[in-house]
Amino acid sequence: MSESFHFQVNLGGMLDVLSNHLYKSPDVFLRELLQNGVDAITQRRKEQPGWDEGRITIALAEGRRLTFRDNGMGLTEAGIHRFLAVIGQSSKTQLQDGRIPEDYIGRFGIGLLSCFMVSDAIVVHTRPADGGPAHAWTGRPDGTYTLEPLEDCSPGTTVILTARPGAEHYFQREAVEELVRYYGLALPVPVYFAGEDRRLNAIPDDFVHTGRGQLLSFGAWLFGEEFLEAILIHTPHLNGVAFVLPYQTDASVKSGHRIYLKYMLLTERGDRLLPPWAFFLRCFLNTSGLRPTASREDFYEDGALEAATAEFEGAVRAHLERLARESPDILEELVAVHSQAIKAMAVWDDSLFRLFIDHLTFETSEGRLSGGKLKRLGRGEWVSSVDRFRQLKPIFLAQDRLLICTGYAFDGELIPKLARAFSLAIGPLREESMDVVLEEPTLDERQQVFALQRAASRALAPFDCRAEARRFLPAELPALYTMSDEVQFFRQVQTAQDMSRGVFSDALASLLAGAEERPAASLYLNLNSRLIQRLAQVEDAGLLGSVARILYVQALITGGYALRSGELKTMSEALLELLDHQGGSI
Amino acid sequence: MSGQVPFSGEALDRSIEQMPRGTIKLEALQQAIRQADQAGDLFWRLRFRCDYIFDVGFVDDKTKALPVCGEFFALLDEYPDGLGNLGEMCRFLAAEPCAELGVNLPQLSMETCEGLLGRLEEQVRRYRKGERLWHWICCEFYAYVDLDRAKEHYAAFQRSKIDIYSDCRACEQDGMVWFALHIGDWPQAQRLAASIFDGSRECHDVPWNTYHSFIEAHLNRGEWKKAQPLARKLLRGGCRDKSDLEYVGSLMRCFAFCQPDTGAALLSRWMKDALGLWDAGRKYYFFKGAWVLCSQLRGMGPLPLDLPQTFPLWRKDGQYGCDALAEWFYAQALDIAQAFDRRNGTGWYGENLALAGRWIREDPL
Repeated sequence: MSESFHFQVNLGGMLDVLSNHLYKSPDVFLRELLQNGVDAITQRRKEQPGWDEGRITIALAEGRRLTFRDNGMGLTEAGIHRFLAVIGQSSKTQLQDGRIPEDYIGRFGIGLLSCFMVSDAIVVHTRPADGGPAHAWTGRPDGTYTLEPLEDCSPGTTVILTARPGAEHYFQREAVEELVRYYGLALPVPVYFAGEDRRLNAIPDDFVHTGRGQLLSFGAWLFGEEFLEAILIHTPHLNGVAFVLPYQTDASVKSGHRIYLKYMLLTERGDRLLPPWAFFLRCFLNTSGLRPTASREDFYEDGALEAATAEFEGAVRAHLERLARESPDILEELVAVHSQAIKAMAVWDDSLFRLFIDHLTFETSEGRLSGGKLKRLGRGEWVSSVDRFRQLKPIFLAQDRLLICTGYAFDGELIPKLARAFSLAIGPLREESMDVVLEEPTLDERQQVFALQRAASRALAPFDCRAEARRFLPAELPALYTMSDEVQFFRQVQTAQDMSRGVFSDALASLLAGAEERPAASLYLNLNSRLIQRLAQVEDAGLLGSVARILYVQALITGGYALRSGELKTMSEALLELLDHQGGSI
Repeated sequence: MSGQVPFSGEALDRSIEQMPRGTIKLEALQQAIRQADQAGDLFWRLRFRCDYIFDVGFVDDKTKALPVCGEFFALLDEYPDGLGNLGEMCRFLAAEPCAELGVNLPQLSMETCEGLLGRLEEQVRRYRKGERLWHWICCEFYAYVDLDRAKEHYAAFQRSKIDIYSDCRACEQDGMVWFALHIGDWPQAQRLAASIFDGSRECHDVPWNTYHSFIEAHLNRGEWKKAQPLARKLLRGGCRDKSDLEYVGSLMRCFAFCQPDTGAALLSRWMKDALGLWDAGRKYYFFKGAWVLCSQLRGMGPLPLDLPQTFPLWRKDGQYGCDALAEWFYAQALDIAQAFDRRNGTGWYGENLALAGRWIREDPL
């Protein structure tokens, strides 16, 4: 027959586990005290129907001692032995068929131990509210405790902590007030400093009937931000406000919220509860029906959490829909600041997409146009390369054709989605469309410009560039330089290699050598331009080559490309050749 | 009097600094480099280049850092004091992304890769900082070349102190998860990933990188059902730009077995970017995923896709045969795998590709 043994638990080691691994900061001791106090008051309310005088008071000997008092249910002697002296035993467990009542916050029975992170002893004075003697319990980190009868003690529980060296900060009035606000702002039990009337944890009683202005003022007080908008969240699992930040923020920002579980602060991080796009919001939320993790610093992932997330999404969406109908100016402002976040949402959420698409803006050849404007225009082409967009923009503008740039984050998804959703004649810019933008010359024209095109291509070969004659608008533009992203990168690699030495030069050379085929850029010579028409009549190949090199550099400058050293040099040389040529003919 | 506004690096820097990380910020930095070059302002020529090098790998093809880095160090060699007090930090920030490029570019010879690692090591020795980072980058590189050497660097990484140049805690944790999976220590990987999966550690790249590592690891074991929940999370938050194309590859590989429509949509959306990518490391994962997706869809009739015209098998009607696509993607992935293995003198990539092929059709749709 096997024997049964008990584990020996080293309380000092346990405290190390708590302080270094379970809790992120010693300041949670106040959260645990608040939690126990509120649960004791909740229990007394249940056992004494009609009693509604629950309150918590905190007295301080600044920097030295903190006395935390609740007038809740208190403990009997048996309760003290059972609940204060056994780790993992909570007075709140197994109260209702093995389940913790919904209105109790704590559940693990380890909270009081967190006080050892700031105090070398925990002194508890307690008297049961339903009658019976009072006791003083003193616990120490070595696992020992004493229990003595107590005469002078009113019903409820008082916890007395004395600051450990190094923990004095937590016993200062300012710190305590801040921690009460931080952890217990939403608690349904008032918290006071002893002898004072000002409640430390006051918030609006009912957000549902609170006006927008008051909500925004509350947000400013709580977060210190002048928010753009306040979104009421009132769902089965959630109650509170989501505030819209007045500035852009990075998608990786997940913290800065105040998320409570049953009115006690659980976390500042929103990544478990809130959808990924909520980074432009700061939320003050009280949750119910969700399960905390053992450290009470986040939520347990389960179906209830998923439902709460869906409720949050629904509430934000409903509010924005209402704004679109009733206060479009606020919506415009919100979209202007948070377009990236909203675009990220709209990619995945069809109803949000339909709600916002009219207000979101996109880079086009006619400047930034909203989705609504694009819907009205009904046609256009998109390019996914920002550089290609820049190259083609003046041509599209001159030809009264709409070009949309989808090279920015999320626009690559949203523009095709816009075209599909509203059956618009908006599609990608295909090569056959380019033939319309840059019109192919007729056979006659080809013959006329043959010498020019050949001389120019020869002159530009050292720059990996081909010359081609096309007809396009505006006529004032004699030549257009276009290159793919690949060519652009090649140019950059070549330029850098010219400058570099040693290992960087080797690495850049490997990149150039590794390319299967050296891509070429194009210099389009505009047959609508008087200059090109005039050059088509010149027969001197040398002269044509010199002009082609000048046109090439001019087109690079017009396109905003960085010039390589050889290109600047060729410009000067070509100009000299022109002068020599002119001199020769005089 | 000229109407041109004089160049002010400080003002430009302030406006760029406020921009969230992304394509728009990168463009602004490129523009700023051009303006500083034109103004001949040495300090800002260097500073904006350094900022660009640091940012580009987060949102675009990290290969683009290389030419700018070449320019940066050429300028700095010529004017060693050009950055004043910022010299140390900028040298580190610029040398780091290039030291990592050996993992991404098989066309760099082993000598060049080690030279780039050496450039970072020079800074480490010179300033007696950044040792932890350097060991980590070496560990990542040698993990595909010489596992014993990688383990030595890993141990040295763990021994080294955290300093200003160390990766963020989330990236370090993610890196350790990746290494545990790389050497097949699954329990250790799960232990290390706990603080990432519970949200305690996160940054721009984490948890997305960690999801990617686990998705690949699950799929290598034929466990697509375990990979799917992670894939769904990665799909919603991690596919943002070209720097995420390896994630897209893993997603296509996973969705091949459970959400082929989503896989096909990802292929259409990202193919153009993948074709233009220089970063062969990321391209490999993309092509591998596309290969598994198209292979798994074989026999289901033509696949409607919106692929770019630069794709060699491009069709005007947008209807693609999965056999031809699978063959093409496999050939591309194999090319890259062979190039890496040739350079590294190992067979890791070839084996990894074979492992992906093992599960095709094992779990019919």
